[in-house]
Amino acid sequence: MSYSFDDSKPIFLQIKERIENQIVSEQLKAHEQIPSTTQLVSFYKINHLTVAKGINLLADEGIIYKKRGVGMFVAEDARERLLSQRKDQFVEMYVRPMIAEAHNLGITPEELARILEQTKGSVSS
Amino acid sequence: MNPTHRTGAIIKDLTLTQLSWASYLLFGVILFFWGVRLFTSDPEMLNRTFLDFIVQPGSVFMLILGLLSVSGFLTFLVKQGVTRRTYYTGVAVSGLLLTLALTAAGLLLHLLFRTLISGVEWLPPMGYEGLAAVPVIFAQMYLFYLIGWAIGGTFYRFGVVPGLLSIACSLALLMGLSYLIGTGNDLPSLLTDRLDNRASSDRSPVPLSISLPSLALVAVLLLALMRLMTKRIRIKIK
Amino acid sequence: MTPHIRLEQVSYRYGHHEALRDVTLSLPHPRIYGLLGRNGAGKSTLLSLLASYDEPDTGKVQIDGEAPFENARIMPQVVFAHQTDYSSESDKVVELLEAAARYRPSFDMAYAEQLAARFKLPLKTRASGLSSGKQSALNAILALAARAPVTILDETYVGMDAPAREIFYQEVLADYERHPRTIILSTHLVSEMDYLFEEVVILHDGRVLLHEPIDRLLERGASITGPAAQVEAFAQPLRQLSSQQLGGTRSVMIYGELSDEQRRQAAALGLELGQVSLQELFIHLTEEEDAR
Repeated sequence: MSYSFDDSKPIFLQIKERIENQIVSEQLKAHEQIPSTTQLVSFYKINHLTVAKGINLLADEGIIYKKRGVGMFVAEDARERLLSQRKDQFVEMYVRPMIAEAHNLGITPEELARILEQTKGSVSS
Repeated sequence: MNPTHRTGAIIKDLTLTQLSWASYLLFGVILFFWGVRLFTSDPEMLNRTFLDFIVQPGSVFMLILGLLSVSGFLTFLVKQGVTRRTYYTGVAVSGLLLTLALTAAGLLLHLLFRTLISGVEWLPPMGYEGLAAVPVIFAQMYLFYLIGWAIGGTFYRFGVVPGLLSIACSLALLMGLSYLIGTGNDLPSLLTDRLDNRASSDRSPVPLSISLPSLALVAVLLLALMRLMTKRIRIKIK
Repeated sequence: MTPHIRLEQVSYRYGHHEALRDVTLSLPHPRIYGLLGRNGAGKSTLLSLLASYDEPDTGKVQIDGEAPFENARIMPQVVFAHQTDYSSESDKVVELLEAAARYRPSFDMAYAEQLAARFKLPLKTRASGLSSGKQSALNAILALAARAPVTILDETYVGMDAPAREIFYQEVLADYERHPRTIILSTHLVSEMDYLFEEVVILHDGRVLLHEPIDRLLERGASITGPAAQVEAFAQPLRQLSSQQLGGTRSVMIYGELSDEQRRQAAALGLELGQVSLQELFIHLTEEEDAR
């Protein structure tokens, strides 16, 4: 049984996201090698096939590339791609719901802008 | 490694392992021989040659080695990916080489000690004139090896009761053989008698022309038996 | 080149006990296989046939196209580690390793010594003087260092404490990556070892219950939790393996593919769908089989 993965979504997606997070936060830089499938299996205690599924998705989306006989590496533009993907999702996942909720609560756009300014200050970057 | 090459390597391996144990035996017998010379004044004992001293322990040693060949070597070799056939050849040939080595060593020491110790009227070794005892000793030790192998194999393959039966059969066989060879060489009594009880010859031993081929025949039969027994034998886990 | 392992309608009995009945199995690729089964299911028997410890009563066992029994080409390619009685073994650990090196063509002595260090296995001790955990470590080392194309590890962890087992799992994976080969792990400790397997074979009462890639197998298991009435209604037409109820909440484990439509339906009914572990599937599938 593996720790730190939950039931909320398929594990292969969670593995994919973990690696993506590491790329976005620059823990993994462009052309850096990512751990091998077996290393991931051993570290996370997730079976090979699940890990392979996640990795293959990353390869399909061009986030990583495989060098035969050597391993898998972060693509040159991986971070950019991910950031733009996430920016797109950001509006859907966070902004729209926020605006809708603000509307429900009767918060005016000006109030909303002020709240954003104030809160931005207290969130560590 | 091709099969023939491998068989050779295994024979060498088995022989060397068993030889190292045999060296302990030899050492023990030499000590015993000289110990006897130092502490007895009984002429019966003092006139016995080294060959007489080595037959009994040598035969028992070979019997035990044979016994261990199944539980020890068979499981080990098959576990290492060696076929039963190679195991069989390995045990049969290494036993032969071992017996040869022991006999040769015994003969050399016999000649050496006979030269070193003067003024003794040596009793004919095992009742035989000259060095005629040597081939008999050789045949006997190898037979004990094969018999031990057969007993060990029976226990392993068929269980305790058949194993005990095989011991009974072996004793019967040995008695038959001792009749063949002649007095002084009571094979079963070799396991129990003291040196001085044997070979105050009531009768002279059977001529080599009869005893040796008979012993050889028995050996061949035992070898065939062992091949049959181990050809497709099941290896036990644990 | 990994030898294709094939069993065709293999049956085997010990005296009156039928240990294997009509077993047909094909293990073609270099892969880590998990062989699961309850006590007495026939796992060790099956494995011992692969290792040429005996021949099947009926049917065929083939490795790389030939029967392995008494086959001088095939036998050295299979290594079988299992619980061993070392009580009369006067040889030292290092001597046993050297013996294996003499007989196994691809034995890696340097790797064996590395493993011995990792497992804290003292090289100069007699095998008979080792604790059962250390003896298991020795068996594991002898098998892994042999680098045989077919490596069988039959409950090789017996007696090992949890940290030692961790090391064992790591080493199996690491060496598998370095030298891909067919590794068959036979075990009871399903929950601990499940992530190691690429394919799973479940043996029950001498028969093959299933043989699947692990992800496909796990996809077929699901737990459905929610208000009792809704759960019962939803799960009624499905193959239920087990169920539990606490107050008004019911949880049912099913085995079978759920379509997207069914998933939507479950969500609409307020039912929670969860994953089922290999151990749970193993326990309940074999129980279900028993009940037949």
